[in-house]
Amino acid sequence: MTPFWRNGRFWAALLLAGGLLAAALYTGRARPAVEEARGLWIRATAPVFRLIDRGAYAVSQAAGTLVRWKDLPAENARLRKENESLRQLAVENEELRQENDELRELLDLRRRPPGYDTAGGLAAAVIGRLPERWYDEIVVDRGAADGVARGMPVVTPDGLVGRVAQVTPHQAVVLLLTNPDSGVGALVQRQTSRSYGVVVGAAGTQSRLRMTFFSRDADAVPGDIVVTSGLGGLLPKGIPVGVVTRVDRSQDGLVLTAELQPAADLNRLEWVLILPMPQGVSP
Amino acid sequence: MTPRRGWGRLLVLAAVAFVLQATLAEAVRVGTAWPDFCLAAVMLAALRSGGRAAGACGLGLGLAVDLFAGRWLGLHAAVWGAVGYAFGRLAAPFDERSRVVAFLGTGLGAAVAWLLEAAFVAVEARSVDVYAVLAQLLPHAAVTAALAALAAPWDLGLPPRAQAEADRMATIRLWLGSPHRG
Repeated sequence: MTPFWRNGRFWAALLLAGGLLAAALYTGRARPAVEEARGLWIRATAPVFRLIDRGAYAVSQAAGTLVRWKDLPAENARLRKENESLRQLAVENEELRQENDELRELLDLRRRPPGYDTAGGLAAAVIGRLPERWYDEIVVDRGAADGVARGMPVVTPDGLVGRVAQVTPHQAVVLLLTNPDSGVGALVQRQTSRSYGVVVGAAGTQSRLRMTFFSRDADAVPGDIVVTSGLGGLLPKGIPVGVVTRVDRSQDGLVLTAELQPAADLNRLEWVLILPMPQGVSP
Repeated sequence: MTPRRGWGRLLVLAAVAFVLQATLAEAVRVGTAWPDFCLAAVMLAALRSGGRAAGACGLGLGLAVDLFAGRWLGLHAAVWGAVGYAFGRLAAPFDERSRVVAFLGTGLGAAVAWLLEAAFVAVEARSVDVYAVLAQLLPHAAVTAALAALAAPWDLGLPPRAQAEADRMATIRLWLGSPHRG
């Protein structure tokens, strides 16, 4: 029997494995060629992902309807009642809005309403997400053809999700806040604090964020809400980023860091809103 | 069944596993673990079609996942290719439709693949959280093994084990003195 080291196939397999591991080492950091190949691959597979996504949604809806079949009459009655009260609320809301507008005009409040501007936002469905990169990124079904560009902020009604990292004609990859490579300028919203810092994703597979404050006199306590600072102009000011859960000071007392729970539920992302770039920032 | 049709079905199995992995894996999460459809497909290919087919399947599926993730291109390909090939060789004497063999082999293979990937990432990042790796490894391996065991008896129409492997299997059976169970 020929010893294995005299077998050409053994050396070919070894060479292939070595080549793949060398390629893995080389692509540990972002490379334009890899990004391009990845974009092509996502473009090629996205239609199937979308199909599966829609199929799964239809199945879950159908299953939900079957499960709720018995309760449908009661639910119908409840929804009718709810609908009536919502209609009434909508009318009241409209009255209040008009009154609010008039008061704003009267007081010459020309600044934007509190919070952030979502005008021009583009709704996008999450169509791809690898479990092993769960807290790193998502793939959405909007791309350059819809006006999406690299760097655009991505939000849900609860808060910031991340930023567009890569764009293909009909899909985009969104780098999540929890990715350790993501960095967001932020500040503590509390009026008596207003401490500035930068929020990055905590390494690992946890849905946690870490905020490092710029000043050693910064003030943060658990429960504080952290929002985007708008500094640097890449993100609009005031988007909720997270809630402080723990505050740590370094042993020498010079650096204050805080652990945050993301404001948006990154575990359950189905639809997101892609916001346009803030004015004056080109993609 | 013609060999070409068998290889075609292997390709379809790999494509379905990749799409399920990228879209529905999270939806069938059990506790903190999700089944690895891709690795389960590689292990099923190893059981049914032997080391070479499983190695090729692992290599292709690994590249597909690496390209989708956009980082460490080739890591999954090298690890799944090697694990698939090794399991295909080691599983040769056993019943190719046995749930027990599929469960144990896939569990072991998933654990080895996970450890190899974690070791590579730890070397590259120069840090490792051993507790986090182990806490993920066992449930992940168990759920993936359960998935492979569920699918093990199905007639997937994959290409049969190569003649060389069949001969080797017969020799080992003769050497062990066990009757043919397949």
